[in-house]
Amino acid sequence: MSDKNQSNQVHAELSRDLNLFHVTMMGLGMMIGAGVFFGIGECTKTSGGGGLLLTFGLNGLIALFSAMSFAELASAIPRAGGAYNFARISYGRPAGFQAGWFEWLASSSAGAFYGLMLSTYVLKAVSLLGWDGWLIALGVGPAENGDPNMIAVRAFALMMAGMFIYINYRGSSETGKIGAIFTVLQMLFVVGIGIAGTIAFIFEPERIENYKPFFGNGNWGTLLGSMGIIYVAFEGFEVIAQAGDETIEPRKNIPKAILYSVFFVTITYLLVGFGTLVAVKVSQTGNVAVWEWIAHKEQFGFQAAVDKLFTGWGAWFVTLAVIFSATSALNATIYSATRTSFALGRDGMLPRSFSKIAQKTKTPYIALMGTSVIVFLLIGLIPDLKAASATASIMFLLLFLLVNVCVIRVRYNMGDELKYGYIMPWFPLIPILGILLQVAMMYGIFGESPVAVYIAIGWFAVSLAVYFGYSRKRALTTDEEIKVLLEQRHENKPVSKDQSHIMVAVANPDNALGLVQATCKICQTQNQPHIELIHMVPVPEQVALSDADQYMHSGKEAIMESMLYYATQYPTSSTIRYCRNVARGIYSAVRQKKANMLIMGWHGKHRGHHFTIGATVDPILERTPCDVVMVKDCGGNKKFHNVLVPIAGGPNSALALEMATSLAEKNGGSVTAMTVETPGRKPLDLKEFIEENASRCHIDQSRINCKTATGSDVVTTILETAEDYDLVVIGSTTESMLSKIAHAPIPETVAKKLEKPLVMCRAASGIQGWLNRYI
Amino acid sequence: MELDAIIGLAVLALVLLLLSGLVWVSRSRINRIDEIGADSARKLKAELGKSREK
Repeated sequence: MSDKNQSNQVHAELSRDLNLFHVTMMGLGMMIGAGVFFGIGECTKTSGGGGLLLTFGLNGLIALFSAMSFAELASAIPRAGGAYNFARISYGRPAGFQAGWFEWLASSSAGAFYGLMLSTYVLKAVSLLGWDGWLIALGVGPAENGDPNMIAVRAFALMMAGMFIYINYRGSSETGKIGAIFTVLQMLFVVGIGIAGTIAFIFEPERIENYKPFFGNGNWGTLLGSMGIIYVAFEGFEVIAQAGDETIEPRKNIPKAILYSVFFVTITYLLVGFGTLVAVKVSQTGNVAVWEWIAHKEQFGFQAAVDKLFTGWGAWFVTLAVIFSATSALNATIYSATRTSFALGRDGMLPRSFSKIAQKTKTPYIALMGTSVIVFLLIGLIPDLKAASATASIMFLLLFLLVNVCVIRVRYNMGDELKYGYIMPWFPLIPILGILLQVAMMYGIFGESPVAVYIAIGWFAVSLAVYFGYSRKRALTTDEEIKVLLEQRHENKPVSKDQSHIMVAVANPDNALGLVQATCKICQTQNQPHIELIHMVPVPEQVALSDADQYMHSGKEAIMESMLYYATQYPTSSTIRYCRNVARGIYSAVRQKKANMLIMGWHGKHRGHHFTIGATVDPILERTPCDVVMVKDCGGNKKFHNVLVPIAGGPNSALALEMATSLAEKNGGSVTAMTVETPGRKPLDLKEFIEENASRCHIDQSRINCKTATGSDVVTTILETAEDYDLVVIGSTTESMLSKIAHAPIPETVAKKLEKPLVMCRAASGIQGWLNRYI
Repeated sequence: MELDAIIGLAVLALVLLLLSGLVWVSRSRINRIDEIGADSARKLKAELGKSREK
C-alpha cells in the first residue's frame, strides 16, 4: 500500500522527443540557405574570391566562440528561453530585457531579410519565364539587367510575410522531425554544388586562376565588412539553446548540437564558396575575370555561377532552393521573434497583453501582432537586401556579445551551484576574444551598411526608454531566476522489470471512465501491473513548453478522476506532458518510460481519407514501440458476454484474442474467434492458431469458440456477424501507412463502420517493434 | 603566388585547425562530464579553482 501512496501524485513534465540529430538539424536548417546564397555574390564583390573563403572561415571561428558560450550556458541551464534566460540569470532584469529586446529585432529583421530574398527570387523567376507583362503594365517591371523592381519586391515580400504571420496565428508550423528531413535535403544541395565545382576544378586545374587577385577589389581591411554582412548566415545555432525543454538528455545533446552545427555549416560554406568560384570558366564570362563577373551579379552571383556549371537548369535549381529555404527560414524567424516578445510580456517587461493567448488557436496573438509590425516596417522601409542582411547580422552580433559577457559572469558567480554538462576550454579567453571580434565586425558593418548600425542604435535607444519608462517598475520579481536555479525534478519510483508497465493515455474527462474500466479488466491478466496515466497537452511552437501551464485545462481533472478509481486497485502514477504533437509526444513517452502496453481511447469519428482512422491514432498505432490497445465506446457499466474476434493470423490477432478473454465477463462470458471464407480465399485454421499462441499470450482456450463465416466480402461479413455480439476485438493491420493509401485495410474499415463497442490491438513484435523502440 | 594569397591560405589553415581542435576538445569534455555524472560539480570546482588562482 505504501508503494501506491508514494506514486499517487500528478506531476507535469515536458515531452522530450528531439535527439542529437534533430537539434543539430534544427540549427543547421536555420543557418544554411538564403543567407549564403545571397552572401556569395555580395562578399565576392567586397573582398574577392580569396576574401570569400576567409570570410566564411573567420566567421565560422567567431561564431564558434559564441557557440561555446551558448553551449556552456545551455548545458547548465537547459530550459527554454536561450539568451534571454542567460542574461536574466547572470545580470538580472535589465540585461534580460536587453537580450530579449535584441533578439526580438534580430529575429524580426532576419524575417524581413528572408521575406525580401524570397520575393526577389520569385520575381526574377517570373521575369525569366516571361510572365512579367502585368508588372510592366503596373510600372514595376524589371530593370534592364533583369533585376526585379524594388517596389514589386517589397509588395510581394509583404504579402508573403502576411501569409506566414497568418500561418503562425493558426498555430501550425514545421515540426522538428520533418524540418530535419528538409534540412538534410538543403545541405545535400549546397554540398552537391560544392562537390560539383571541386570536380570541375580537378579536371581543369587552371580554374584556380579565378582566385586572382586574392582579394579582388578589396584588401584585409574590407574583410570585416564582408564578414559582418554575411554573419546572418551563421546565426541559427542559438535556437538550439531554446530547445532544452524538448530535447532528450539536454545537458549533453544541446552543447554538442550547438558546436556540431557551427562546425558543419562552416565546412559546408567553405566547400560551396570554393566550388562556386571555380564553377565558371573565364571563357564563359566574355573574358571578364570570374570573381568580377560573380561580384557584378551581387545577390544573384551564386545563381549565375551555378547556371554556368549546369547550363540550362542550374538557375532554376537555385531559384527553387532559395524559395524553399527562405520560406522555411521566414516562418521560423517569425515564430522565434513571437516567442521572445511573448516571454517579455509574460515577465511584465512588455505589457502583459503580449502574453495573451488566443482562445481558439492557442497562439500568442498580441506578441505575433507586435512582431508583424516590426517585420512589415523593415520590409517596407529598409533600403535594400544588403541593409536587411546587415541589420539582422548586427542585432545577432549584439545578442551574442551579451551572451559572451554572461558566460563569464555565470561561471564566476554561480558555477558552484550549477550542474554543467559542458565546460569550455581556454576560459575566459574564448568569450573575451568573441566579444572583441564581434565589436570589430560591427565596425566593419558600419563601413558597408551604415543604415544597419543606425537602426541598431535607434533600437537600443528605444529599449532604454521602454525599460526605464515601463519595464523597470512592472517587471516581475526575481522569482523566475531563482526558479531556474532551483528547478525540481519530479520523478516517480521506477517501475521494476518484473512489473507490467501499462500506460493509459487520458484525453478528456468524457472518455476517462471508459478507459478506466477497460484497463482494470486488462490488468487482471497482467503480471504485477503498474498503471501510468498520461495526458498530453499540445502547445504551439510560438510558446516555450515550460510556459505552457495555461494550456492545461481538462487534463488534470480527467487524470484525477481516473486516479481515484485505479489507485485503490493498482500502483498508479500520473503525468501531464507538454508536447508539440500529441502522437509524437505519446510514443516518445512510451519509449522513454519503457512501457509494455499503451491503452488509449478513440472517439470513433473519422474525417476525410478512407485509409486513416485519425491523424493522432494512425501514427500511434504504427510507431509506438509497445503493445497498443485502442478502446472505443467501452465506458459506463457495460458488460461483455459475447465477444467477437475476427482473426486473419499474425501477432496483432493473438493480442486481440488475449484482450478479448480479459474483457469478456468472467462468469458466463464467451469469446468467439472468427475467420472469413471468401471465394478463392482459404480460411485460417483457428484451432492451430490458438494453440500456437495460447501460452505466450495468456489466452484461456476453454472460453474460446471457433467460427468460420462465409461471404463474398470480408468487411461486410464481419459487420453482419458482429450484430449478435456485445464487443468486437480486432487486431490492426500490419501494413505501413503507404500501403494503406493504396487500399483500405480491413481492420480499419471495420473499425470505422462498426457501431458497437470496439477494441483494436497492435502488438509490438518483430523487427518493426524493435526499430520503433530504438530509432 | 601573391603574398596576400600565401598569408590568406595560412590564416585559413590556422582557422580550420582551431575550429576542428576546439570542437574536438569540447566534444571530449562533454563525454567526460557525462561519464563522471554526479561528480561534474566537483570537477568544475577544481577547474574554477585553477582559473581563479591564475
